[in-house]
Amino acid sequence: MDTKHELDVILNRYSQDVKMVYKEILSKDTSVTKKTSERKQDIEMLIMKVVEKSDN
Amino acid sequence: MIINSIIMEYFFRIYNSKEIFFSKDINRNVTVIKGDNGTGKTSILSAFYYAFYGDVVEPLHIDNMLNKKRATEMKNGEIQFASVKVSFDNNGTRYHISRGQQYKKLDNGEVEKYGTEFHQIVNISENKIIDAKNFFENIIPKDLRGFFFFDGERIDRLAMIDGREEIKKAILDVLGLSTLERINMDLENVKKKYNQDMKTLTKNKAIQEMSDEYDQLIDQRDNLKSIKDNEEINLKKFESIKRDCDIFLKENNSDHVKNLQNERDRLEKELIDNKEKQLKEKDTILKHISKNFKYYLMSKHFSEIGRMLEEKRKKRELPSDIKERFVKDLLESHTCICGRPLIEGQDEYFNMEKLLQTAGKEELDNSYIKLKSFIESSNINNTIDSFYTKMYEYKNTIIQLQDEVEKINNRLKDIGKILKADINDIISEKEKLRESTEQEILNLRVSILTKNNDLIKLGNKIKDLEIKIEIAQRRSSEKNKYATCFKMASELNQLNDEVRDFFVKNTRVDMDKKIKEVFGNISRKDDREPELTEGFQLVILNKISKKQQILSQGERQITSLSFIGALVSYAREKAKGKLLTDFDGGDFPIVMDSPFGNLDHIHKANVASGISSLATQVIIIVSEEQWSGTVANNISNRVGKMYEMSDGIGNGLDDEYTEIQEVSL
Repeated sequence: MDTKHELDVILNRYSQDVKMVYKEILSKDTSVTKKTSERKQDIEMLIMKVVEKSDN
Repeated sequence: MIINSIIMEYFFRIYNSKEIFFSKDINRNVTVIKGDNGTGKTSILSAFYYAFYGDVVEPLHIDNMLNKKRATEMKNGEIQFASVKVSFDNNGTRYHISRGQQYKKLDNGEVEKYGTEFHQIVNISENKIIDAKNFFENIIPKDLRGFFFFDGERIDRLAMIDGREEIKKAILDVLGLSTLERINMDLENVKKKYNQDMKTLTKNKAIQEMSDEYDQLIDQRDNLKSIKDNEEINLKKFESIKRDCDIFLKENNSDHVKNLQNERDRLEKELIDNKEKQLKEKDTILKHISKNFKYYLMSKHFSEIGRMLEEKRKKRELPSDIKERFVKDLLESHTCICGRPLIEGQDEYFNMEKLLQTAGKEELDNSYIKLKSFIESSNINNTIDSFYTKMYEYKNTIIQLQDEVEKINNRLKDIGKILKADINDIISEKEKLRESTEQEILNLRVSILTKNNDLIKLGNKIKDLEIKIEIAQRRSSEKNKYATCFKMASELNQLNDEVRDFFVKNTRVDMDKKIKEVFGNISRKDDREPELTEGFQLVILNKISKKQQILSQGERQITSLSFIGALVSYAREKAKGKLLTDFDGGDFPIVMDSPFGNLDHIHKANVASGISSLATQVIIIVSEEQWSGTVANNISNRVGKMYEMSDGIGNGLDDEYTEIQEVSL
């Protein structure tokens, strides 16, 4: 089993929403110099966006 | 990242270097900078530290950065810049990083820092200055620089027992896996915040209490309404019975009974009319009071107001017969009403101006006229005079109507008594039934009226509570939202843990293979091999017995070099994969100061022949002694650029400096 496939197996255990938010977090969280509060705010916004979308 | 060149200007031992270019040739990727001890090898390593991170390698001190020869040459008051400029490429973009500090020579001959540090990074590819703060941290984090810019004689620490955390951190950082650690920390913070939000909302338990109260009120209302509905049904029933009684008595054969009942009908109608009249009278008198009572109250002061107005008028404090506008017009036209000229400065003009002070102002005039005519009006005086007359009239009318009511009621009682005492039992019983029914009707009407009032009060309470509950429910739905967010943050946390564990496990296995491969190239002992344990400890084992071996300082240096080589090589390979983030590895140079210091002859040969394969770009700073012989013989065919450092010729004791010359290969 290659690494990519193994990673997909892990990711597929989670819902589409969780996967989507996780990938978004990873793509936003590449800077070591970003402030903790900014990173926290980014994550909160990503989660809230998906939750509110699901509510509607 | 690949380094193109470096320029050092009056930087420690370096007086004023020409631009030093580093080899970028894939086949000859090694750049060698040779120099005897004391010629400034540490200055070169420090130049990289300074340009990228703003500090220098011990024993050098950043405050003494200005070259001594230059400091000696400077005149008192003169200012000189000491700086390092590095050109490098990262992910296809070229950057120029410059950092420097001005120094000033004081009157006492000493030099000291002058002004603030200059630090600038220019994106050459896009020709723009970028935010220099922490920029390089995203390429090689400061706490990892020891793996890329290092003193070879001190690198052996990695292969010591306490190196495991450093090793683990280096691997995770270089491969971007510390991002996952950070995300876990961030998610913990996010969860904490959501939990706090939920707690704040849950603290408002009033929603449950209000909901209970609401249910109670609704039950109470429904119950009351149901009783009232029954009462209304009963009321109708009793009214119907009473009507039947009335009809029975009215249609009775006995004229006496019939007449009494007809009289009662008429009296009852009169009672209703009387009540209506009383209500009408009450309404009329209330309107009269609300309209005229204020005039009555004020009337006592009207004569006083009239007297005051007259007094003020006599004193000319109130409008005279002459209007302000009229006087102003005459003054502006400079002509009196009699036709004589009005000239400023003359008595006529002065007298006319004086008139302005008492001339009637329009607004005041209007108010005065209105008030005066109001006081004098016959209407108001009539109203005041008639105020109590109307009140007395009302009182008399009401007394009269109430007397009538009393008389009617008495007569009604009499009629009842007469009919109850009728010799005909049927009539008597009917009248008794009518009487008890009438009492029931009265009781029911009172009860229904009370219940209607109670229902209105309950309805208002319910409405208020509904608003409160709606507000609380909105908060509650927010709570549910936060609960969903919290759940998602927890799942993300779990997923991130799994992904991190997966990468850490895979990376350790891959890195272990890589270290073994690199170690095999530079070690001279075939019976030994390195192992990166599950706890990320770098150890050397006997290949057969698998027992951990005790290492000499040189062997530890070899092991550490193997690790760094493996790490750089692995990062380079991973950069092509980009499984998760944009920081999955990368291409890094290695800048080594004295990498052959503690090695024996065979290790020197192995390291020298294998060093070029450690990274895409290798920069070695060596002493002439370390270089000559074994090292030179084993590495020469991989060297793309070579420079030589030598002591410059100074004029005194305190003006030492280094000259750097490129050496032809």
